[in-house]
Amino acid sequence: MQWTHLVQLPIADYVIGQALRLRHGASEQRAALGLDLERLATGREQLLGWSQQTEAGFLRIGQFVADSYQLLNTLREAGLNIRRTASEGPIGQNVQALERMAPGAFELLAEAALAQRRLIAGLESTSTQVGDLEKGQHELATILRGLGPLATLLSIDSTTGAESARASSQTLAAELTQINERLRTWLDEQADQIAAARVESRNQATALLAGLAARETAVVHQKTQCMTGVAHLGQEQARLSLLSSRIEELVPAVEACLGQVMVALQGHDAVRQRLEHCCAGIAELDGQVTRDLDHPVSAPTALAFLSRLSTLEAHQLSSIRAVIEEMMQRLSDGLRTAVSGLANLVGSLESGVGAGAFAALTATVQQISELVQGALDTESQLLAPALHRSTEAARALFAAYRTELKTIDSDLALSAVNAQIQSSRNGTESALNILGAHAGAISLEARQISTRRAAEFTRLEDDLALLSRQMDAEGAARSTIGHQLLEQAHQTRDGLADAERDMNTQVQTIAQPAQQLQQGLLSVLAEVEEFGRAFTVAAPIQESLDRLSRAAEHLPLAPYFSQKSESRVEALRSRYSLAAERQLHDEAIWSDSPDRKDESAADSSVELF
Amino acid sequence: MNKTILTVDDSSTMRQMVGITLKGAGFGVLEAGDGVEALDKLRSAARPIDLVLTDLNMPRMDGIELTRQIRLLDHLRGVPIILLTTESSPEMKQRGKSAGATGWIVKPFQPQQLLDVVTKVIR
Repeated sequence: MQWTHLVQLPIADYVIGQALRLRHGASEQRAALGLDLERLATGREQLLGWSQQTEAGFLRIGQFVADSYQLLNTLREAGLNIRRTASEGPIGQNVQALERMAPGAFELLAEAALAQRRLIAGLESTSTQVGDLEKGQHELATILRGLGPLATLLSIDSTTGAESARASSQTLAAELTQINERLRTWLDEQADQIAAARVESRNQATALLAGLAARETAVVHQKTQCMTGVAHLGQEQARLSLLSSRIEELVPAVEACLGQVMVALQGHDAVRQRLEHCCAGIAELDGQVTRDLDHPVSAPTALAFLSRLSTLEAHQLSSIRAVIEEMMQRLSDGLRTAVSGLANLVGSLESGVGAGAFAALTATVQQISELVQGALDTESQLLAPALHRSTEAARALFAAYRTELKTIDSDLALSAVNAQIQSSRNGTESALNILGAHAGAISLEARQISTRRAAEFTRLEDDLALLSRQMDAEGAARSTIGHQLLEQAHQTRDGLADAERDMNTQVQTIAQPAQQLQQGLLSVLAEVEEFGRAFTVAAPIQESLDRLSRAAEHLPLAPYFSQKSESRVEALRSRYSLAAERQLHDEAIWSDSPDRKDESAADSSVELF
Repeated sequence: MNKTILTVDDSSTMRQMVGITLKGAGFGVLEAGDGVEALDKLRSAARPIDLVLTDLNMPRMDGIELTRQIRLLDHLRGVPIILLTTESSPEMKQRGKSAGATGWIVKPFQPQQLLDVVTKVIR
C-alpha cells in the first residue's frame, strides 16, 4: 500500500463520502424532485383545472362579449332607429357616438380572443413538455407570468366592457335625458308661442271688434247725417212745392197780364191809325179849302164851312187827345207794372229755383251718397275679407301646430317602444328600461300636452268661426241697411234731379216767353213814348186849326162848297164824331176787363167766311 | 212739323205780340211790315206758308190788296188769309171776302181768341 493509496483512501473515502452525500443529496433531490414533480403534477392538475376554469371563464367572457356585441348591435340598431326617428339633433349625435365606440369594443374583443388562443397554446405546450421540468417550470413560470397580466387584462377587459356598456347606456340615458329636456324646452317654447299666438289672436279679434264698433258708430253717424239730409231735402222739397204752387198761381195772372197788354196795344194801334187818318183828312181838307179859296164866288161859303169843320176837328182832336193821354197813362203804368212783375218773376225763378237751392241740395245729397257708398265699400271690401283672412290664417297656424305636435308624439312613442324592446331583450332593468319608461312618460306627457293644445285650438277655432259668422252676419245686415240707405239716397237724388230738371224746364219755358214779353213790353213802352212825342207834334196842327176857326168866324159865310167836298166832310164828321171815337176807345182799351170779356169774344168780332 | 204763319202789320209791336202768342202755341212765325214785304217773303219762303194774318190798313199795300195779290199766285191760292183790323163795317168785311180772305178778326182781340181761330183755320 502505498501512501498514495493511503492518501488516496481518505480522498476516496472523501469522494465516496461526497458521492454518497451527492447520491444522498441526489436521492434527496430526487425525492424532492419527485415531490416537486408531484407538486408539479398537482400544480399541473390544479393549473389544468384552473386553466379549465379560466377557459370556462373565457367562454363566459366570450359569451358576454358576444352578448355585448349583440347588445352593441342592438344598441346600434336602437341608435339607427333613434337616428331614423330623430335624424338631426342629440339623438343622431348619440348614435354616432355609439358607432364611434363600437370599433374600440371590437378591438378589445379581438385582443381577448388572441390572448385566449395564446393561453390555450401555452397550456398545450406545457402538457406536452411535462418531462422537461426546467423548461416546463420556465415555460410555466413564463406562462404564469403571462397569464397573470393576461388574466388581469382579461378581467380588466371584461370589467371595462361592462363598464363601457354601462357608460354607453348612461351616456345614452344622459343623451336621451338631454333630448328629453330639449324636447320639453321645445314643447314649452311651442306652448309659449301658442299662448302668444292665442293672445295675438285675441288682440286681433278685439281690435277687429273695436274696428267693427267704430265702423258701426261711423255708419250710425252717417245714417244720422243721411236722415238729417233727407229731412232737409223734405223741407227743401216742401219749399219748392210751395214755390211751384206760387208759380202755377202766377201763370194765369201772367197770361191775363199778357192779354191785357195785347189788347191795350191793339187799342193803341187803333188810335194811332185813327190819328193818322185824321191828320191825313185834315191835310186833304186843307188842300181842298185852298183850292176852293182860289174860286172867288165860293170862298165865303167855303170859309164858313171851313170854320165849322175846323171847330169840329179841333173838338174831336181835343177829345181824342184827352182820351189818348189817359189811355197812355194807364197803358204806361200797366206796362211798367207788368214789366217789373215779370222781371221780378224771372229773377226769382232764376235765382231761387235755378242754380242756388237745387245745386246746394244736389251737392248735399251727392255728398251723403258718397259717404254711405264709401262706408259700404270699406265695410264690404276691407272688414269682412280681413276677418276671413285672419280666421283662415289662425286656422292654418293651429293646424300646423297640431301636425307638429302629432309628429313629436309619434317620434317619442316610437322611441319609447324601441327602448322597451331593448329592455325586454336584456331581461333586466337596464338603463334602456329606465330610458324606455322615461321616454314613455315623455310621450304620455307630450300626448297630454297635444291633447290639451288640440282642445284649446278647437275651442279657439270654434270661437273664431263663431266670431267670423257673427261678423259676416253683422256685415251682411249692415250692408243691407247701407244699401237700403244708399238706394233711398239715390232715389231721393234722382227724384230731386228730376224735379230740378222739370223745374228748370218750367223756368226756361216761362223765362223765355217772359223775356220776350219783357222785350216786347219795352218796345211797346218805347213806341208809346214815341207815340206821345208824335202826338205832341200833332198839337200845333190843332192850334193852327183853332186859329183858322177863329179867323173864319170873321169871314162871310157862303155855300160854295162842291158836292164832293160836302160828302167828304160828312164822311169825316160821321167817322170822327166824339161818340164814335169814344166807342172805339172803349172797345180798344177796356175790352179786356172781366165785365166785358164776353162781349169782346162775341161772334161779331170774329168771322170766318 | 210745326205750321208756319206769316204775320203782316206795319206796327212792330203788334207783330211781336201776335208772334209771341203764336210761338207760345208752337207755331213758326214769319213777319212782314206791309203787303209788299209780305209778297216778297211769300215768294221767297223756303218753307210753305200755312196761314197769313194781315192787318188791313198798311202803307204801300194794304191787307185787301195783299189778299188779292196772294190769290193771283197759283201756289198760294189755297193759303188761308185772316184779316186783323179795327174795321168792323159790313162793307169792309164784304171787300175782304171779295178779295179772297178766309176770315176776319176785329181788334182788339184776346190771345186765346186768336189761337182758336188760327187752330180752326189751319186744321
